[in-house]
Amino acid sequence: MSLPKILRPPSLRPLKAAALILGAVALTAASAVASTAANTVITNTATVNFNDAGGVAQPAVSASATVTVALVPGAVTLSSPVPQTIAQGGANASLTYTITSTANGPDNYSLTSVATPANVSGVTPTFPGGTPIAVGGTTLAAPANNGDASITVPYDNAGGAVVNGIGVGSTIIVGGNPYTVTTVTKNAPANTTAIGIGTVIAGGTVAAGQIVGERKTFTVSVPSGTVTSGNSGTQTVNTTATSATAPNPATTQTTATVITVNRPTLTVSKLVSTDGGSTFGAAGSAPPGTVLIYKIVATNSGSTSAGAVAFTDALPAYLTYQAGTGKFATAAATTYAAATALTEGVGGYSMAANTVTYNPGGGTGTVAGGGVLVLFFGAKIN
Amino acid sequence: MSVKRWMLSLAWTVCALATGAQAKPRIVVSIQQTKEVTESSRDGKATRFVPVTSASPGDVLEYVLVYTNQGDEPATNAVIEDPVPKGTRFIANSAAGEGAEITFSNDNGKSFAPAVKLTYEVKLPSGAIERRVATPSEYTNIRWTIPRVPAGASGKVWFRVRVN
Repeated sequence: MSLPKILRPPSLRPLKAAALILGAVALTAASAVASTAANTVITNTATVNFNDAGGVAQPAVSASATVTVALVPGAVTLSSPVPQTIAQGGANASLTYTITSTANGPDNYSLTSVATPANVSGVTPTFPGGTPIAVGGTTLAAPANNGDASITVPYDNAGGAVVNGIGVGSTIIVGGNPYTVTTVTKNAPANTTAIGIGTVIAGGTVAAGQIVGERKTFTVSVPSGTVTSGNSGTQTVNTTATSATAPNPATTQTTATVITVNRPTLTVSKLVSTDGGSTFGAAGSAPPGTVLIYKIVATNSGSTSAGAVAFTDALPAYLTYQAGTGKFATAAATTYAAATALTEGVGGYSMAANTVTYNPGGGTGTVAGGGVLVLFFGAKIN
Repeated sequence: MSVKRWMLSLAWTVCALATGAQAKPRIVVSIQQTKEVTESSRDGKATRFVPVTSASPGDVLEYVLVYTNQGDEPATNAVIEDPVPKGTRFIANSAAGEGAEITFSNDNGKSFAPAVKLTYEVKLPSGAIERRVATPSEYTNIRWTIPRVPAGASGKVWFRVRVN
């Protein structure tokens, strides 16, 4: 016997049964964020009990139909890391972000970051932890009340100790507050999962249907670039996280993170000794014929190396350079006697037209942050 | 006994044998599950229902329960009961079915009543008991009672829910 043709039920037509004539349709306003976790299986089971013509009860028959709840992607919440200052050429700035899901299920979020330079060369931020990042999400299947040590979320129709991407050790946000997951216990027959939390719920009852999002962290590494003029510039960083699920909602950090890049600074001081290099001072007094020993100290007050440091000193009138008196040192306390001798014409040291030049290059010419390079030479008062 | 009477009684016996000792009804039931989708076009929006296995929070689902008596005897007092699926809420005025008396429960099937009469009691903080009319979104079960389903007959009942 074939089944009769199925006609489409007309939409919401009035029923013969008087029972359903209600004065007004009671519309229950759904909470703006009320939702059901993705991967939840909703089952409808209909059972028919009937009797035969004689009124004898017959065995019941039933039928079931299921739907699986789909993921509704959400724009994550991204933190805005505080400003930083780094040295040009030094270690990259490391920015730590928190990313919090607002979706009803697990999703992957691709990360991009743009550094806008000002008075510094362009750089490309990188993601040491890689991209995309997976972040879990679910919903409350029952209200969470103050004092509860666990929350109830829907079963995600999968085995294991992770529910919708959330596992032991995950940080989840319930009612705006973070909790650490201590246990995940699935109850397939009840279609629920219990998530144990490290500290009890506080801050008021959170209604069933509210999103429970996972919170994770990731880092962005930003190189300094090179300052183009003056002593500093900035890299203004904006990082964006984009859901991999159409329509791919995206979030960019609310406040850009400004990284100040400082160029290393050298200061120079010049001291003179009238006693052949034993003691040095800013000024002195000596009779003609005295061989003055000059001490020029280049100090790198920055936190990063200064390269290709070079000295140029034009001797004033009434002074005659003394050959063989050049020396250098790499510590401010080194005495003239203990400093390393320099030979004219060798290793970047020379004297011509009454101008002493020292440009050692290489390692000697690179002064580390906080370091010094000292040049000594003698000149006789005419 | 006259030949005619004898033939009648023989015919009756043959009839009885042919029908078999167990005439009985046999109800089969199936569910058609669809979801409301809205399509926008130049002329405006149109909604239709399409079969689905996946739905998003907020979607409207419609369940059509088709019952057929494939037996050779009428079924009587057929009661179709369908708990509102967990994870959804019943949409008011959406339950229907020709020839069926429809009642609802909001106590998980312990008691049923027609919609206008479905009430429950609430104890107020003052200790007083207040009787309230159940709102459709609180219904937990729906029941259709069909007094008689003739052999070979088929019918359908339906209702809609919204995914939480």
